[in-house]
Amino acid sequence: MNMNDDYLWDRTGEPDPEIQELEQVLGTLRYEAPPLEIPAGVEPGKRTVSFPRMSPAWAVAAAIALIVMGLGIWLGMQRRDTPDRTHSITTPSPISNTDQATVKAPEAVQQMKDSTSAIATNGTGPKATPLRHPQTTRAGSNRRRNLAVGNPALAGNELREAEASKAQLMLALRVASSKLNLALKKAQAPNQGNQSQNQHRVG
Amino acid sequence: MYELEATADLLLMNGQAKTALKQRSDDAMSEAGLIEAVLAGDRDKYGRLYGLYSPLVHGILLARVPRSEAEDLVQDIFLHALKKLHTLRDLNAFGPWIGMIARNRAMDFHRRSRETVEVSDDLKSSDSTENKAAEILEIIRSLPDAYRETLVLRLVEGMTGPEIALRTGLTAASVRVNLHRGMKLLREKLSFKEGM
Repeated sequence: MNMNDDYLWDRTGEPDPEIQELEQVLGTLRYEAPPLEIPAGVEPGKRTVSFPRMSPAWAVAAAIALIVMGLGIWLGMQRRDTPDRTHSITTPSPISNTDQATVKAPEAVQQMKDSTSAIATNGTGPKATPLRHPQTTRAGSNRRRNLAVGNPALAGNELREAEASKAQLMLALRVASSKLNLALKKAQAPNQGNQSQNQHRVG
Repeated sequence: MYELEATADLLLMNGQAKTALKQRSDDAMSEAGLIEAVLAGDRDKYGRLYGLYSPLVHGILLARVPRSEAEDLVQDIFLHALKKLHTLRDLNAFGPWIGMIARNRAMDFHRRSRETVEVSDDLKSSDSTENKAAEILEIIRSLPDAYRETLVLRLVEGMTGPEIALRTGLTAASVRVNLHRGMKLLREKLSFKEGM
Protein backbone atom coordinates (compact mmCIF):
# COMPACT_ATOMS: atom_id res chain seq x y z
CA MET A 1 0.00 0.00 0.00
CA ASN A 2 1.45 3.37 -1.01
CA MET A 3 0.54 7.00 -0.32
CA ASN A 4 -2.18 6.97 -3.00
CA ASP A 5 -3.81 4.03 -1.28
CA ASP A 6 -3.88 6.08 1.91
CA TYR A 7 -5.68 8.84 0.07
CA LEU A 8 -8.10 6.33 -1.41
CA TRP A 9 -8.60 4.82 2.05
CA ASP A 10 -9.25 7.87 4.24
CA ARG A 11 -8.11 10.92 2.24
CA THR A 12 -4.88 11.18 4.16
CA GLY A 13 -1.46 11.30 2.57
CA GLU A 14 -0.62 12.68 -0.84
CA PRO A 15 -3.76 13.25 -2.95
CA ASP A 16 -4.04 11.23 -6.14
CA PRO A 17 -5.15 13.57 -8.99
CA GLU A 18 -6.96 10.79 -10.81
CA ILE A 19 -8.97 9.84 -7.74
CA GLN A 20 -9.69 13.50 -7.06
CA GLU A 21 -11.04 13.91 -10.58
CA LEU A 22 -13.18 10.80 -10.22
CA GLU A 23 -14.52 12.12 -6.90
CA GLN A 24 -15.37 15.42 -8.54
CA VAL A 25 -17.14 13.87 -11.51
CA LEU A 26 -18.96 11.08 -9.68
CA GLY A 27 -19.83 13.41 -6.79
CA THR A 28 -22.52 14.91 -9.01
CA LEU A 29 -24.47 11.66 -8.58
CA ARG A 30 -24.31 11.88 -4.78
CA TYR A 31 -27.54 11.38 -2.92
CA GLU A 32 -28.93 14.50 -1.37
CA ALA A 33 -31.37 12.99 1.00
CA PRO A 34 -34.78 14.65 1.02
CA PRO A 35 -36.49 14.50 4.40
CA LEU A 36 -38.07 11.14 5.00
CA GLU A 37 -41.85 11.35 4.98
CA ILE A 38 -43.31 8.61 7.10
CA PRO A 39 -47.00 7.97 6.36
CA ALA A 40 -49.32 7.90 9.35
CA GLY A 41 -49.97 4.15 9.16
CA VAL A 42 -46.34 3.10 9.02
CA GLU A 43 -45.05 2.09 12.43
CA PRO A 44 -42.52 -0.41 13.65
CA GLY A 45 -44.05 -3.72 14.70
CA LYS A 46 -44.01 -4.88 18.27
CA ARG A 47 -41.08 -6.96 19.38
CA THR A 48 -42.04 -10.42 20.48
CA VAL A 49 -40.12 -12.14 23.25
CA SER A 50 -38.81 -15.29 21.73
CA PHE A 51 -36.88 -18.14 23.28
CA PRO A 52 -33.21 -17.37 22.78
CA ARG A 53 -31.49 -19.57 20.29
CA MET A 54 -29.31 -22.12 22.01
CA SER A 55 -26.08 -23.14 20.43
CA PRO A 56 -25.54 -26.91 19.95
CA ALA A 57 -22.78 -26.90 22.58
CA TRP A 58 -25.14 -25.39 25.15
CA ALA A 59 -27.86 -27.87 24.21
CA VAL A 60 -25.48 -30.81 24.74
CA ALA A 61 -24.29 -29.36 28.04
CA ALA A 62 -27.88 -28.91 29.21
CA ALA A 63 -28.72 -32.49 28.24
CA ILE A 64 -25.71 -33.82 30.15
CA ALA A 65 -26.63 -31.74 33.18
CA LEU A 66 -30.17 -33.13 33.10
CA ILE A 67 -28.87 -36.72 32.88
CA VAL A 68 -26.48 -36.13 35.79
CA MET A 69 -29.29 -34.62 37.85
CA GLY A 70 -31.53 -37.58 37.05
CA LEU A 71 -28.81 -40.04 38.05
CA GLY A 72 -28.18 -38.13 41.25
CA ILE A 73 -31.84 -38.25 42.21
CA TRP A 74 -32.04 -41.95 41.40
CA LEU A 75 -28.91 -42.76 43.43
CA GLY A 76 -30.21 -40.67 46.29
CA MET A 77 -33.43 -42.66 46.33
CA GLN A 78 -31.47 -45.92 46.23
CA ARG A 79 -29.36 -44.85 49.19
CA ARG A 80 -32.45 -43.83 51.12
CA ASP A 81 -33.87 -47.31 50.65
CA THR A 82 -30.69 -49.17 51.64
CA PRO A 83 -30.25 -47.99 55.27
CA ASP A 84 -33.88 -48.80 56.03
CA ARG A 85 -33.35 -52.37 54.93
CA THR A 86 -30.22 -52.80 57.05
CA HIS A 87 -31.94 -51.12 59.95
CA SER A 88 -34.87 -53.48 59.74
CA ILE A 89 -32.50 -56.43 59.61
CA THR A 90 -30.31 -55.34 62.48
CA THR A 91 -33.08 -54.07 64.74
CA PRO A 92 -33.92 -56.82 67.20
CA SER A 93 -37.60 -57.65 67.16
CA PRO A 94 -39.33 -57.71 70.50
CA ILE A 95 -40.71 -61.20 69.85
CA SER A 96 -38.78 -63.92 68.11
CA ASN A 97 -40.30 -65.87 65.21
CA THR A 98 -40.81 -69.03 67.21
CA ASP A 99 -42.33 -67.15 70.09
CA GLN A 100 -44.65 -65.33 67.74
CA ALA A 101 -45.73 -68.59 66.24
CA THR A 102 -46.37 -70.20 69.60
CA VAL A 103 -48.03 -67.19 71.09
CA LYS A 104 -50.25 -66.33 68.16
CA ALA A 105 -50.93 -69.85 66.96
CA PRO A 106 -54.22 -70.39 68.78
CA GLU A 107 -55.63 -67.12 67.48
CA ALA A 108 -54.52 -67.92 63.97
CA VAL A 109 -56.02 -71.40 64.14
CA GLN A 110 -59.27 -69.92 65.26
CA GLN A 111 -59.19 -67.43 62.36
CA MET A 112 -58.48 -70.16 59.84
CA LYS A 113 -61.28 -72.29 61.24
CA ASP A 114 -63.64 -69.37 60.92
CA SER A 115 -62.62 -68.72 57.36
CA THR A 116 -62.92 -72.37 56.30
CA SER A 117 -66.34 -72.65 57.89
CA ALA A 118 -67.42 -69.53 56.08
CA ILE A 119 -66.31 -71.02 52.78
CA ALA A 120 -68.14 -74.26 53.54
CA THR A 121 -71.43 -72.61 54.46
CA ASN A 122 -71.68 -69.56 52.20
CA GLY A 123 -69.15 -70.27 49.53
CA THR A 124 -67.71 -66.88 50.24
CA GLY A 125 -64.60 -66.44 52.19
CA PRO A 126 -62.88 -63.40 53.45
CA LYS A 127 -62.11 -60.86 50.78
CA ALA A 128 -59.24 -62.07 48.71
CA THR A 129 -56.44 -59.62 48.55
CA PRO A 130 -55.29 -59.01 44.98
CA LEU A 131 -51.85 -60.18 43.98
CA ARG A 132 -49.37 -57.37 44.14
CA HIS A 133 -46.29 -56.84 42.13
CA PRO A 134 -43.16 -57.93 44.02
CA GLN A 135 -41.61 -54.50 43.64
CA THR A 136 -44.67 -52.73 44.90
CA THR A 137 -44.96 -55.08 47.85
CA ARG A 138 -41.32 -54.51 48.63
CA ALA A 139 -41.84 -50.79 48.38
CA GLY A 140 -44.90 -51.15 50.52
CA SER A 141 -43.01 -53.09 53.15
CA ASN A 142 -40.26 -50.50 53.08
CA ARG A 143 -42.82 -47.81 53.53
CA ARG A 144 -44.32 -49.77 56.39
CA ARG A 145 -40.90 -50.09 57.98
CA ASN A 146 -40.37 -46.39 57.61
CA LEU A 147 -43.72 -45.68 59.15
CA ALA A 148 -43.00 -48.11 61.97
CA VAL A 149 -39.68 -46.47 62.68
CA GLY A 150 -40.83 -42.89 62.22
CA ASN A 151 -44.34 -42.98 63.70
CA PRO A 152 -44.84 -44.95 66.90
CA ALA A 153 -48.63 -44.37 66.89
CA LEU A 154 -49.05 -46.35 63.70
CA ALA A 155 -46.44 -48.91 64.66
CA GLY A 156 -48.73 -50.69 67.10
CA ASN A 157 -51.50 -51.39 64.57
CA GLU A 158 -49.11 -52.22 61.80
CA LEU A 159 -47.09 -54.54 63.99
CA ARG A 160 -50.18 -56.34 65.18
CA GLU A 161 -51.33 -56.89 61.60
CA ALA A 162 -47.92 -58.08 60.59
CA GLU A 163 -47.66 -60.47 63.49
CA ALA A 164 -51.10 -61.92 62.78
CA SER A 165 -50.32 -62.49 59.12
CA LYS A 166 -46.97 -63.98 60.03
CA ALA A 167 -48.57 -66.37 62.46
CA GLN A 168 -51.07 -67.39 59.78
CA LEU A 169 -48.29 -68.03 57.38
CA MET A 170 -46.29 -70.07 59.88
CA LEU A 171 -49.33 -72.14 60.74
CA ALA A 172 -50.05 -72.79 57.10
CA LEU A 173 -46.46 -73.85 56.59
CA ARG A 174 -46.59 -76.21 59.60
CA VAL A 175 -49.84 -77.76 58.42
CA ALA A 176 -48.41 -78.16 54.96
CA SER A 177 -45.17 -79.69 56.28
CA SER A 178 -47.00 -82.11 58.56
CA LYS A 179 -49.20 -83.20 55.64
CA LEU A 180 -46.13 -83.66 53.51
CA ASN A 181 -44.51 -85.76 56.25
CA LEU A 182 -47.60 -87.88 56.52
CA ALA A 183 -47.76 -88.37 52.77
CA LEU A 184 -44.08 -89.25 52.74
CA LYS A 185 -44.51 -91.85 55.44
CA LYS A 186 -47.47 -93.38 53.62
CA ALA A 187 -45.50 -93.45 50.43
CA GLN A 188 -42.50 -95.06 52.10
CA ALA A 189 -44.51 -97.80 53.89
CA PRO A 190 -45.50 -99.82 50.73
CA ASN A 191 -41.99 -99.50 49.31
CA GLN A 192 -40.55 -101.04 52.44
CA GLY A 193 -42.93 -103.96 52.06
CA ASN A 194 -41.96 -104.45 48.45
CA GLN A 195 -38.31 -104.34 49.34
CA SER A 196 -38.78 -107.12 51.90
CA GLN A 197 -40.75 -109.11 49.39
CA ASN A 198 -38.09 -108.67 46.82
CA GLN A 199 -35.43 -109.60 49.30
CA HIS A 200 -37.40 -112.63 50.16
CA ARG A 201 -37.70 -113.56 46.53
CA VAL A 202 -34.06 -113.00 45.91
CA GLY A 203 -33.05 -114.80 49.07
CA MET B 1 -9.39 -15.41 -7.45
CA TYR B 2 -10.14 -11.92 -6.16
CA GLU B 3 -12.11 -13.38 -3.28
CA LEU B 4 -9.15 -15.56 -2.29
CA GLU B 5 -6.80 -12.61 -2.33
CA ALA B 6 -9.22 -10.55 -0.30
CA THR B 7 -9.44 -13.30 2.28
CA ALA B 8 -5.67 -13.51 2.48
CA ASP B 9 -5.42 -9.77 3.05
CA LEU B 10 -8.09 -9.98 5.73
CA LEU B 11 -5.70 -12.00 7.82
CA LEU B 12 -3.13 -9.19 7.67
CA MET B 13 -5.21 -6.64 9.52
CA ASN B 14 -3.11 -3.82 10.91
CA GLY B 15 -3.52 -1.66 13.98
CA GLN B 16 -5.30 1.05 12.05
CA ALA B 17 -8.00 -1.41 11.07
CA LYS B 18 -8.36 -2.51 14.67
CA THR B 19 -8.83 1.12 15.70
CA ALA B 20 -11.48 1.48 13.02
CA LEU B 21 -13.23 -1.60 14.35
CA LYS B 22 -13.20 -0.20 17.88
CA GLN B 23 -14.62 3.08 16.59
CA ARG B 24 -17.25 1.08 14.75
CA SER B 25 -18.35 -0.68 17.92
CA ASP B 26 -18.55 2.65 19.80
CA ASP B 27 -20.73 4.18 17.09
CA ALA B 28 -22.83 1.06 16.88
CA MET B 29 -23.72 1.45 20.55
CA SER B 30 -25.27 4.84 19.92
CA GLU B 31 -27.15 3.47 16.90
CA ALA B 32 -28.58 0.73 19.06
CA GLY B 33 -29.93 3.46 21.33
CA LEU B 34 -31.51 5.19 18.34
CA ILE B 35 -33.19 1.96 17.24
CA GLU B 36 -34.51 1.30 20.73
CA ALA B 37 -35.97 4.81 20.77
CA VAL B 38 -37.63 4.23 17.39
CA LEU B 39 -39.08 0.95 18.61
CA ALA B 40 -40.43 2.81 21.62
CA GLY B 41 -42.28 5.13 19.22
CA ASP B 42 -39.85 8.02 18.66
CA ARG B 43 -40.15 8.76 14.93
CA ASP B 44 -37.66 11.61 14.93
CA LYS B 45 -34.89 9.19 15.81
CA TYR B 46 -35.67 7.26 12.66
CA GLY B 47 -34.97 10.46 10.74
CA ARG B 48 -31.47 10.43 12.26
CA LEU B 49 -30.97 6.83 11.21
CA TYR B 50 -32.13 7.79 7.72
CA GLY B 51 -29.59 10.60 7.64
CA LEU B 52 -26.81 8.23 8.70
CA TYR B 53 -27.64 5.35 6.38
CA SER B 54 -29.31 6.84 3.30
CA PRO B 55 -25.93 7.36 1.52
CA LEU B 56 -25.12 3.69 2.13
CA VAL B 57 -28.48 2.51 0.77
CA HIS B 58 -28.24 4.89 -2.20
CA GLY B 59 -24.71 3.72 -2.97
CA ILE B 60 -25.68 0.06 -2.85
CA LEU B 61 -28.63 0.74 -5.15
CA LEU B 62 -26.64 2.97 -7.50
CA ALA B 63 -24.16 0.16 -8.02
CA ARG B 64 -27.01 -2.00 -9.32
CA VAL B 65 -29.97 0.01 -10.66
CA PRO B 66 -30.43 3.22 -12.73
CA ARG B 67 -30.00 6.48 -10.84
CA SER B 68 -33.64 7.61 -10.96
CA GLU B 69 -34.81 4.23 -9.69
CA ALA B 70 -32.24 4.31 -6.91
CA GLU B 71 -33.55 7.60 -5.56
CA ASP B 72 -37.13 6.30 -5.49
CA LEU B 73 -36.13 3.04 -3.93
CA VAL B 74 -34.21 4.62 -1.04
CA GLN B 75 -37.37 5.98 0.59
CA ASP B 76 -39.27 2.74 -0.04
CA ILE B 77 -36.52 0.74 1.61
CA PHE B 78 -36.45 2.96 4.69
CA LEU B 79 -40.23 2.74 5.09
CA HIS B 80 -40.08 -1.03 4.69
CA ALA B 81 -37.25 -1.19 7.23
CA LEU B 82 -39.30 0.85 9.71
CA LYS B 83 -42.14 -1.65 9.50
CA LYS B 84 -39.78 -4.57 9.96
CA LEU B 85 -37.50 -2.94 12.53
CA HIS B 86 -38.83 -5.18 15.32
CA THR B 87 -37.42 -8.21 13.49
CA LEU B 88 -33.84 -6.86 13.76
CA ARG B 89 -32.18 -9.18 16.28
CA ASP B 90 -28.86 -7.37 16.76
CA LEU B 91 -29.50 -3.68 17.23
CA ASN B 92 -25.85 -2.93 16.44
CA ALA B 93 -26.23 -4.41 12.97
CA PHE B 94 -28.67 -1.96 11.43
CA GLY B 95 -26.26 -1.07 8.60
CA PRO B 96 -25.64 -4.62 7.36
CA TRP B 97 -29.35 -5.34 7.76
CA ILE B 98 -30.63 -2.41 5.72
CA GLY B 99 -27.80 -2.97 3.22
CA MET B 100 -29.09 -6.49 2.67
CA ILE B 101 -32.62 -5.16 2.20
CA ALA B 102 -31.29 -2.75 -0.43
CA ARG B 103 -29.43 -5.53 -2.30
CA ASN B 104 -32.54 -7.73 -2.28
CA ARG B 105 -34.66 -4.84 -3.51
CA ALA B 106 -32.21 -4.22 -6.36
CA MET B 107 -32.43 -7.90 -7.33
CA ASP B 108 -36.23 -7.70 -7.27
CA PHE B 109 -36.08 -4.64 -9.49
CA HIS B 110 -34.03 -6.53 -12.09
CA ARG B 111 -36.32 -9.55 -11.90
CA ARG B 112 -39.39 -7.42 -12.55
CA SER B 113 -37.87 -5.29 -15.28
CA ARG B 114 -36.20 -8.16 -17.14
CA GLU B 115 -38.70 -8.11 -19.98
CA THR B 116 -38.82 -4.33 -20.32
CA VAL B 117 -36.23 -2.39 -22.29
CA GLU B 118 -34.04 -0.47 -19.89
CA VAL B 119 -33.33 3.04 -21.01
CA SER B 120 -30.68 4.53 -18.83
CA ASP B 121 -31.83 7.86 -17.43
CA ASP B 122 -28.22 8.72 -16.81
CA LEU B 123 -27.62 9.06 -20.53
CA LYS B 124 -30.55 11.45 -21.06
CA SER B 125 -28.83 14.33 -19.30
CA SER B 126 -27.49 17.10 -21.48
CA ASP B 127 -24.85 18.10 -18.94
CA SER B 128 -21.45 16.82 -20.07
CA THR B 129 -20.22 16.27 -16.49
CA GLU B 130 -23.26 14.17 -15.69
CA ASN B 131 -22.80 12.27 -18.94
CA LYS B 132 -19.22 11.54 -18.01
CA ALA B 133 -20.30 10.52 -14.51
CA ALA B 134 -22.91 8.19 -15.96
CA GLU B 135 -20.32 6.62 -18.25
CA ILE B 136 -17.87 6.02 -15.39
CA LEU B 137 -20.70 4.64 -13.29
CA GLU B 138 -21.50 2.16 -16.05
CA ILE B 139 -17.89 1.01 -16.00
CA ILE B 140 -17.98 0.65 -12.23
CA ARG B 141 -21.18 -1.40 -12.53
CA SER B 142 -19.33 -3.82 -14.79
CA LEU B 143 -16.86 -4.63 -11.97
CA PRO B 144 -17.38 -7.51 -9.51
CA ASP B 145 -20.01 -6.88 -6.81
CA ALA B 146 -17.65 -6.33 -3.89
CA TYR B 147 -15.58 -3.74 -5.78
CA ARG B 148 -18.36 -1.76 -7.42
CA GLU B 149 -20.28 -1.27 -4.19
CA THR B 150 -17.21 -0.11 -2.27
CA LEU B 151 -16.09 2.19 -5.11
CA VAL B 152 -19.51 3.82 -5.43
CA LEU B 153 -19.62 4.44 -1.68
CA ARG B 154 -16.12 5.95 -1.80
CA LEU B 155 -16.22 7.95 -5.05
CA VAL B 156 -19.92 8.83 -5.38
CA GLU B 157 -21.14 9.08 -1.79
CA GLY B 158 -17.83 10.45 -0.55
CA MET B 159 -17.49 8.03 2.35
CA THR B 160 -14.03 7.12 3.61
CA GLY B 161 -12.82 3.54 4.00
CA PRO B 162 -13.41 3.42 7.77
CA GLU B 163 -16.89 4.87 7.28
CA ILE B 164 -17.71 2.21 4.68
CA ALA B 165 -16.53 -0.48 7.08
CA LEU B 166 -18.58 1.07 9.86
CA ARG B 167 -21.80 1.21 7.85
CA THR B 168 -21.61 -2.04 5.90
CA GLY B 169 -20.37 -4.26 8.71
CA LEU B 170 -17.38 -5.37 6.64
CA THR B 171 -13.95 -5.40 8.24
CA ALA B 172 -11.71 -2.43 7.56
CA ALA B 173 -9.13 -4.72 5.95
CA SER B 174 -11.71 -6.13 3.58
CA VAL B 175 -12.90 -2.67 2.55
CA ARG B 176 -9.32 -1.52 2.00
CA VAL B 177 -8.58 -4.49 -0.22
CA ASN B 178 -11.79 -4.00 -2.17
CA LEU B 179 -10.99 -0.32 -2.70
CA HIS B 180 -7.45 -1.05 -3.81
CA ARG B 181 -8.32 -3.83 -6.25
CA GLY B 182 -11.47 -2.11 -7.49
CA MET B 183 -9.56 1.10 -8.19
CA LYS B 184 -6.89 -0.86 -10.03
CA LEU B 185 -9.50 -2.50 -12.26
CA LEU B 186 -11.29 0.82 -12.82
CA ARG B 187 -8.05 2.50 -13.89
CA GLU B 188 -7.36 -0.31 -16.34
CA LYS B 189 -10.84 -0.05 -17.85
CA LEU B 190 -10.73 3.75 -18.04
CA SER B 191 -7.31 3.76 -19.75
CA PHE B 192 -8.51 1.08 -22.15
CA LYS B 193 -11.55 3.21 -23.02
CA GLU B 194 -9.45 6.35 -23.52
CA GLY B 195 -7.09 4.36 -25.75
CA MET B 196 -9.94 3.41 -28.08
